[in-house]
Amino acid sequence: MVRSISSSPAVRKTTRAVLPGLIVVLFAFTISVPRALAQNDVGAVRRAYVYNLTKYVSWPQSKHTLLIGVVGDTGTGVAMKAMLDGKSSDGRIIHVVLNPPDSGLSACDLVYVASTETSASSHIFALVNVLPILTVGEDSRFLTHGGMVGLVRSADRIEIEVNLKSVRTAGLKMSSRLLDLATVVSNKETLK
Amino acid sequence: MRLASITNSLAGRITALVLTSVTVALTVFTLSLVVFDRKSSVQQLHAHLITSADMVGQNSTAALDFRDGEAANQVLQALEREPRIIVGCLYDASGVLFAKYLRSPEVSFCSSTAENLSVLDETKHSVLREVRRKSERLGSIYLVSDMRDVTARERRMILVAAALGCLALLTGGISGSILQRRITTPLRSLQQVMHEVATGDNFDARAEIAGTIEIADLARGFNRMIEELEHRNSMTRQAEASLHSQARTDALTGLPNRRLFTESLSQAVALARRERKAMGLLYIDLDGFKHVNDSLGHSVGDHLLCEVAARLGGRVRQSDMLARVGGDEFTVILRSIKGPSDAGVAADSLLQSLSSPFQLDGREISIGASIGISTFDNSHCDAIDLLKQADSAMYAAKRAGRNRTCHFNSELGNQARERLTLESELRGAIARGEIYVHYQPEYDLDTKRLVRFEALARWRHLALGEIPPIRFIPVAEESGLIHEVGAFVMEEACKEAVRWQTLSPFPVQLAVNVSAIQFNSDSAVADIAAILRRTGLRPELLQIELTESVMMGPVAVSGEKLKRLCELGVTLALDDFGTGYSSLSYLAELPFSSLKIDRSFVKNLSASPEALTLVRSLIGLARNMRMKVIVEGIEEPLQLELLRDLGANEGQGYLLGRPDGNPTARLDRRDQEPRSDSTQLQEAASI
Repeated sequence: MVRSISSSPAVRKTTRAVLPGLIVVLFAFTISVPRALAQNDVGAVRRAYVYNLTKYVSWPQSKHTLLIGVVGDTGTGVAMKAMLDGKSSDGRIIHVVLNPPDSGLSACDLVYVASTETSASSHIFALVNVLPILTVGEDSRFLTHGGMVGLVRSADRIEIEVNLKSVRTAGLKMSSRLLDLATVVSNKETLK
Repeated sequence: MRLASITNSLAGRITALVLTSVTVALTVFTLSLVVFDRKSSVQQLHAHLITSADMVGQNSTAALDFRDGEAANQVLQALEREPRIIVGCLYDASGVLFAKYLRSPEVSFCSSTAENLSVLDETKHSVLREVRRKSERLGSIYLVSDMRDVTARERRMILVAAALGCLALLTGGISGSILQRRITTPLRSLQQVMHEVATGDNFDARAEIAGTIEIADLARGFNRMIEELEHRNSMTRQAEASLHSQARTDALTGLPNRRLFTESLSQAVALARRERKAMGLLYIDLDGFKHVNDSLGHSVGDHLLCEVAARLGGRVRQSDMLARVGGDEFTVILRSIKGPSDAGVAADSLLQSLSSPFQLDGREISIGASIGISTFDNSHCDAIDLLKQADSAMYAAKRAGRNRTCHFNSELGNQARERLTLESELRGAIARGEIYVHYQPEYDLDTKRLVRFEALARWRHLALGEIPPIRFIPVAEESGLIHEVGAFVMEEACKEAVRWQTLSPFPVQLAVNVSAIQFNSDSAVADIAAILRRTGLRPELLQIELTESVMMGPVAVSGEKLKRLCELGVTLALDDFGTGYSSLSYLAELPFSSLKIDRSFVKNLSASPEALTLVRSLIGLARNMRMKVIVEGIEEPLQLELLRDLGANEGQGYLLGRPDGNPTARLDRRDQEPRSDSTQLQEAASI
């Protein structure tokens, strides 16, 4: 039964989440997100996605804390810290670090690359590529540069794109349920 | 009625029981199965729904987390492969409907919120499960299943059960019928045998040993019971036959007893009447048997009876019947005789058989018999009459002197009838005042003085007139009325005697006759003492006169009684001396003070020298025993003279005075000498 459902044609290319619905989700998570501009709403959705992503990804070492490093746009980092720092994800306490130094990056479990910092992403990938660190970016090109998960804006929704090979190479495991929602980008695509 | 007979029969009951059992068992089984199956199906369905809900819920977690409704709908779409699930509703954490699956558009049980679920009827089953990722609650899922297949399955099962039930009933009916046949057929055969035994008394009937072990055992037990019954029946019949024989046989002699004799006599009379033939009856009574019994003992008496029976039995024909009907009484039924003469020949033959003495215990005993003969010659008499006639003839033979035979004749019949009449009249005679007393004087032959009066009973019947004592005394003795008559006479006489003493200057005795029957009663002495006490007569003024027959009983008993009478003070005289045949040898031991010589000796006294010698020797004998001699029946002066010469002490007779109702006239005579009614007598008295 489980198999029949999990092997159901639920692997789709896109996910279309309606933004007003996300607000409700955020409320459900008891995260207070003030109503703001559309740009701010997109940011909030991405932050919520980051938080949910932590629940569907397994790291090789179990720890009591989950360290998130935010690289790039400081505003995004601040908002992320405000929203997620101190929260619990599957029993791990989340700590958000803004623009950590290179040495600090390797200690992170998740590195979020703000879109304004796409030029630096190659450098970051060089540092963390072989480590079990989940890299999350904001556009499609992020995956082509070696990123693992892209929270890509498409019209009024955020789509999840996953470079499964990178994820596996890093020694991380991603829940099939997440993969059902995500667009899996192959190596070929990645190379393109 | 018919139904009742079926339900009452074993066969009907067995069939009914089998069918009822099968029906009940099937019904219970089917109902249990249906209920259990439904419950089990519902439980299974519930478990299945829970599993499905949990799986779908688990697969929906990411869709809920990332608010992907389309993905959630895709996940729920998987329920399509579960035909029983018709509705699936996914609610988010706040209870708002997030995604749904409807098998057909017309069913819609998904309410907008999880708190407000639709109310379902009995044909639907639902579960509501929470959707959790680890401990975090993400929402809930609500699945509804259709129960139609459960109901359909139930229906199918009932149908199958009904079909099986019919089959089982049919099988049960057939097997029940076979079973009841196997049981009831041998039972019916047993019943048949029982019927034969019970109604037909057919103890040869036996039940067949067949059928099951129990039935065969029953049949065996039944046969044993019949054998036991047969055995008991034959025992009972033997016992009955034995009792029948015992009840009709005399234990001492082995001869038929009175009962069998009576039955046989009736049959013989009936046969003789039918065949118009004569038949005879002999009634045999042994003479003096009582004396043998009393003097030699009962064992000798019994032995004698057996010997007598054997001798009599040797003389009767095969066709005749010898029976013992009483102590010393025998009867012989003579079948098919020509007439009374044949019966007489037979009676003489029997009498002759007893003529030679019997040798018993080294003694020689002679015994005779009196035989009454009656014959049946198609007259109107019956067995009872015939027996009465033989009995009367036997008594006549006794009266005629014993050891002889006597044919019944009409004269005897008249006598018998007269005795019966007298007996019935005598019963009320005292009460009617018909019995009275006459007194005959007795004188001292030396002093010529009156010494006593003898009291003599008289009966004057209102219609029949004067009835002489010679006729009514034997009747009184035979009927037992003698006790009453004797007591009355004695009481009257004693009263009279008391009166005499006041009129006479000398004491005058009273003589009263007491019969042997009176004397032999247990209260004889006490009765006499009571009369003396009541009347006030001095005992020495009473003389009791007894005949020799009082000594026919055991001598010791008679002697003791006589002794007690003497002790009262009365004197005893032996009456009618010389007529009996008892031995004189023991007279000396008995306390008699006087002998009364019977009138028969006096009658020929003057004409016959032998009579004179006999009287002389009697007087001599009495004197030797120191007894006074009183002579009866003196009717002539010569007799009086002779007797006085012979030494007789006292005399009585018509010459000296007839019995008289008023004896006091004689008391007036100063000299108290005998007063004769004629000149001759006066002369005689003056001698």
